[in-house]
Amino acid sequence: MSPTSFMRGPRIPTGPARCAAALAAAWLAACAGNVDSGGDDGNGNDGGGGTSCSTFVTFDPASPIASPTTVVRANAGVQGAAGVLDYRWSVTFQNGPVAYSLAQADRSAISFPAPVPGVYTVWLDVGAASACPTALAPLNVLAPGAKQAQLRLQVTPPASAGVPPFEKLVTVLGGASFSLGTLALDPGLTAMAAVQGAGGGVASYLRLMPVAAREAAVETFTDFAGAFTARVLSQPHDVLVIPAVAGYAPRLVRDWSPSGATIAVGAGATVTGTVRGPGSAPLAGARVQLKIGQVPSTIGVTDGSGAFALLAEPAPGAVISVDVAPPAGSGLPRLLAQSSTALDLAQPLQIGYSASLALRDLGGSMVRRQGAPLAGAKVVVVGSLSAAGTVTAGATAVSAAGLVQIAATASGAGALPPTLAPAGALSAVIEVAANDHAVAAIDLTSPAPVSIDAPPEVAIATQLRRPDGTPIADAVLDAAPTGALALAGVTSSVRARSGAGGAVAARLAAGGHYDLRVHDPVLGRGAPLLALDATAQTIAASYALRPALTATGKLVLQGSPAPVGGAAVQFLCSLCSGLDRSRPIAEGTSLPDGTFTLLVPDPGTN
Amino acid sequence: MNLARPLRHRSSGRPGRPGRPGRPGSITAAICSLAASAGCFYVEPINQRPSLDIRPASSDPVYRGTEATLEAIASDPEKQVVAFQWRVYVCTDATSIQGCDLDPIFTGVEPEATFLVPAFRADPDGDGPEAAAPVESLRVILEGRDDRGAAARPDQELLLPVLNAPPSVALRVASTHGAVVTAPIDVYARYGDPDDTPANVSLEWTVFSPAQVPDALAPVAVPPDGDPAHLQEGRRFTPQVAGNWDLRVVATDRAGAKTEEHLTVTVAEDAPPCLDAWDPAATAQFAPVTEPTLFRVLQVRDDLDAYPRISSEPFLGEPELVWSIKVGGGPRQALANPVASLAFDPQTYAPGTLVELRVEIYDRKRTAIGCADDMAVCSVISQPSCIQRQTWHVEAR
Repeated sequence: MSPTSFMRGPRIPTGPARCAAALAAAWLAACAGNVDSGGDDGNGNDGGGGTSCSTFVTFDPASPIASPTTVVRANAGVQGAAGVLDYRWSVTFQNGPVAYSLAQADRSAISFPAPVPGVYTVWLDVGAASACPTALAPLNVLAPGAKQAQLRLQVTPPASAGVPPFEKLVTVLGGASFSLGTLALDPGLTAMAAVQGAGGGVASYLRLMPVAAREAAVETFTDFAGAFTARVLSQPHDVLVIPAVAGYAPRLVRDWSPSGATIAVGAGATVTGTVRGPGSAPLAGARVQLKIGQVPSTIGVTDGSGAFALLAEPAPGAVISVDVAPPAGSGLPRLLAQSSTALDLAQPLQIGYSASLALRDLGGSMVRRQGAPLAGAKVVVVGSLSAAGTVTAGATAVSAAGLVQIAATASGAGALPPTLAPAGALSAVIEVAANDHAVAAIDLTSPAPVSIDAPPEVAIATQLRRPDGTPIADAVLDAAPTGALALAGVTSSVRARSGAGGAVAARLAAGGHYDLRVHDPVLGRGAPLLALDATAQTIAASYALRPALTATGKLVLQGSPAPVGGAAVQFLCSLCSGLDRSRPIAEGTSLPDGTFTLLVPDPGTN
Repeated sequence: MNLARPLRHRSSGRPGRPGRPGRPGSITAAICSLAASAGCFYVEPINQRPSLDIRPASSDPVYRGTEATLEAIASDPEKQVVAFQWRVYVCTDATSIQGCDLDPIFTGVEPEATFLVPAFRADPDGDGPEAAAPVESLRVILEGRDDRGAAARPDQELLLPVLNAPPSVALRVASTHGAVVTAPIDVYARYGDPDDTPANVSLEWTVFSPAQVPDALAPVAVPPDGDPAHLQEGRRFTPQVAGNWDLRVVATDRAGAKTEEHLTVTVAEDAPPCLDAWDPAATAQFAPVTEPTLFRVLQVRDDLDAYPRISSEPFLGEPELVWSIKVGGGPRQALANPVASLAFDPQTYAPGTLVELRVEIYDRKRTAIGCADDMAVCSVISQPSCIQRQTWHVEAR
């Protein structure tokens, strides 16, 4: 007790009691030193204890469905806190407070109503002798009768983070925005390994695909000695190895451990064969490749006798695809065959074009638009032919389809040079100018036509609307070429931006087919598909986007509270194949604090 | 000492005459004779008055509408604790009783008195507030008593002049884009007056170019922030040269008090855009592509052209991504429309075909990318961390 407090009146009653027991001769000194009996502030504070505290919240029910009678109980969980705990709660929904009631007398649990679906956020502050962090717990309250959709969530951290890509499946439930909570990114590990062949290291291309998320792949090349270093997830990988050195076959190594196991490659199996033209004459200069499952072979090029040899890694039971690209100028289609029954690759492959396959010469055909010759127009004749050839291995024969991609450029007078093309009902894709295409049917079942007419582009007009009918201004409509245009190598989308009233005007290739996607300025870079395989004639007067849900989350590094900002966050289709599998449905970037917000299409409710 | 009394009573064996604690100047004496047998004798000292003083916590003038802090300084000869009692009155003329309100605006017992100085007297004539009169001075009274009730004499009284508070003003750059040449910059001033309504404050804006030449400012609307004590005003200037631009705002209240604030905005030239992230990884070697693949730009960095475009910032544009493709040894073909991604289907090409896919980025300045065609990557500012060209080398398989 300090001298000042010694002097205060309220302490006086303690003095006489003590002093009464003192001997008379000695009392003064004794009393002077013992008036204060307390000496202890009595608050019981033992100074903490230095234990780190963690705070969390659990919900009951864990996945509530919104209704007027839905009540959610939030329970506080505290570990490592010293002293008497004091709980302070806050509940918010759509940035507004939600009233709650105590569910435990000591305030360690609360109840709150959840009549509306969406994300409710519960904040819990725990007062304790030692500091406890605030718990922030989002709760997804589901919509009644929610439909489900499964999406892939893919995260590509910035290169500076040194973290491999991350992917997981996410089930989106319709009718309610949702939180993905905190996503801990696996920092991965640095795999240092080598591709080894019989003669030592083999320079190769590698595609390292995590077994649990094959699309979150990492690509790399080895050095000339076969060594490589890659930052990959800490899990087994399937590794596609494509050696760059002759004498080795590509292979798929399953369940490779990134802890440093060597990847072995070898010559695989040698597949031989012959390619013959429609008249059974050997076809020189054709390029032959197999795919066994998803693994390509080396590429064999036929010699003067039509013979080829390639290396492939056999995989029993796998689908075998045969791809034969004829030499340029031959006029022949590319042959594509696929065998679901096992081709005996130990037998020489006999690949022959159909004897009935005829060739037409386009030389002299005039390329015109509305009667006027098109000087310098590029024409690509495209199409597919059934039964254009046969692939035979031993006793097994497989029919091959023909893929036609024959290109020619018109002269200054608009005439095509001598150009062979297979007979058949095909299409001509004419590039009139850099941004002006036309698709015209070209019947080559009979001799080549005198002229190929390129119809003018067709103006289209439509309107983009939100689900509530309001027009979307400043949205981007992308018309991605498909069909003949895509086959002819036209990769440029037709792009137009909507005006204030949501109106969009563009010009499409006559006869062209397109997939329509819209980049909504609200949705960000997500590109919801509006229409598949649309033509200028089938464009609707207006398109309404599907309702969207807000998906939020936060990226942190696993084992660390460090947020991961600047990461590309994408939702992708989980059931698609081909290019659609890598086209984002919604796309955004995480903020410096690791949080992200994306809008994804609403699967709806029943 | 209070402590002594009970002991004295006990040792004398009879109630003694109590002293008169709390009576200023009293002398309490007790003699307890210590005879040969037992007992004691002692004299209680005379309790003396404490002395008081009032000190402002700061030497700054006291302004209307601001907080003032005063400290009580006490000294007691017996080192007793002194209890304080503060009373603060607002006045137009503190030298007269009539010049002050009847009721104090502050009372307190702590050694430190902190209170808000009101802008107006509540009751200037003592008969109801007919006309609000500005507070011109404060009358501060401090009383103090020690533990035994001895009061300081005289009470401490302090008359403090109260001045007109100058207006407050705070500046901030409101534009979300960077400070870049030719890009308009919005500056908001949030202003108020502690002793008046913000509507009575006027602002004078000036902006100086790096050459210290005044430049044009245009009004911009500022969304209200709901704070009745403050208003906001905005101005826009559009720098045409790089350097430090100095914005000066002078706020003046009704009484002519001025507050001047400066804001220096460092304006930079519009730097070329940078391709920050792309997918898949780009390599110098030809990477086999066995499946249809979307080649994409994921992130872009630029001063004024955002990717994706930010609709809420009309001034911000969108950079242009120009793709080109080169098949085998053929010519490079630019794709007609700028798109964010390029779809590549290896089945469109004969197996083994080598293809170069290239993307180049241009912002509104369209700085030419002058690198040779065979350079896969190009930075027009020679910074590897900011490239404007990326090239994927792929082999169709």
